[in-house]
Amino acid sequence: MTAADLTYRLALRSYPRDYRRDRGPEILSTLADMQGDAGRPSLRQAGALIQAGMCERGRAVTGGDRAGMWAEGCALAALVLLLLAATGAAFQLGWDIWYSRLGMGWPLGGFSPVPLDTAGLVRVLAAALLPWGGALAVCRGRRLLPLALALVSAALYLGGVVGFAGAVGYQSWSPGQTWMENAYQLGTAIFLAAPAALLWVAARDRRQAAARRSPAWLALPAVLMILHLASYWETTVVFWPLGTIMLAWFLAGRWSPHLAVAVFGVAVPVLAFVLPTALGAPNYEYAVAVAAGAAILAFASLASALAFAPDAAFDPPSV
Amino acid sequence: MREPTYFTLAALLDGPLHGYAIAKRAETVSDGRVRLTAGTLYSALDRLLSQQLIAVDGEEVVEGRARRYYRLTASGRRALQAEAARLADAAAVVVSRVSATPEPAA
Repeated sequence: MTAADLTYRLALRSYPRDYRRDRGPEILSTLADMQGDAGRPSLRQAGALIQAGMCERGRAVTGGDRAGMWAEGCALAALVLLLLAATGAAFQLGWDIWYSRLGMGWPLGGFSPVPLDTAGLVRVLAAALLPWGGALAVCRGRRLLPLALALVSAALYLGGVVGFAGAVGYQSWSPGQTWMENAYQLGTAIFLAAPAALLWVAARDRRQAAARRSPAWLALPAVLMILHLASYWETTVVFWPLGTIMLAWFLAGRWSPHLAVAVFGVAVPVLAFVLPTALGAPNYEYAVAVAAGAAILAFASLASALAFAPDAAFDPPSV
Repeated sequence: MREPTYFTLAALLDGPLHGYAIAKRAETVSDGRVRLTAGTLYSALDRLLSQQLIAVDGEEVVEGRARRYYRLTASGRRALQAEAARLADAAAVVVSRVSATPEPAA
């Protein structure tokens, strides 16, 4: 197998598997003809192949409709963000049960939290159940109900009613704090409200029915909480499984333009959530890495979503 | 209709061709302006197939290379004619006026 042949075979993997099985040999034959006696693989050919392959995947997901691609990507991003918000509260609930009620030890020293009182439990449950209920609604193909739930979450948080504490722990908005501390609260509110904005974009596309998603998604907060308790990791534990899921998705051949939109939709609010921590609390050095990662992810995914979804491939020609 | 689509259809006017021959023919009839990559060629072919502007005209394997032939359908021929007429009209707007209007000062 020549270097050119190998390059084109790899580039061909950007197509969905069914398509590759059906048309792959024909495309490779045409490429071999086009290649002729030239030794080196053509980057132009490989690039065009990857672009066409990604478009084909987008078509497989959204039926070739560009607006549908953005709608589905935004809905998927909203689903992930709602589940991450629920995960923050699930962490706190897990802590409360594990350390305070079961009396399990903290391996790194004297960590002995006071058990939550009834009001505290109600807050944490609200912080978990509002976004989780929103995620359930997204999975069932609803758009406006989870939009409302996300707005209620953010409003309750900003109003100081519900402390959406993650593993790092923080309080609600308060006038007495420095602007950096309030920037953190504002970032958290953006993080909580972002699904509403994303779902608004998703709900505007009425040309096709909203896709339903597997209820397996709803287990994400519980899985992350168990991973967290099992390993005593900090919040970064959220990002490793997410990265692994993304990578697995790509390797399984399910990465598509609409998924790039989803990654962008997740990365931007995560950035708003993490950046104030990175700037205001230098002891959370992981936050700098997460912020940098989220920024790179956001720009890379937006660029790929735009590059892999040209009008030429998505819109029918005007004949 | 986009240029690659237009010249893909135009390449099939003289009879059925396989993928590589379409790319070569499109380059010839466009005076070398349209250099189709395999990616854009097969995107265009898929779209034209789904719109039934072209149809598959048989398959064969030559020297280990899989080849599929495509031909223009009646509606494909009509669509190409309509597009050519539209382009000619658009060109006529300019051509007829260029000689009738003075050249602007540099």
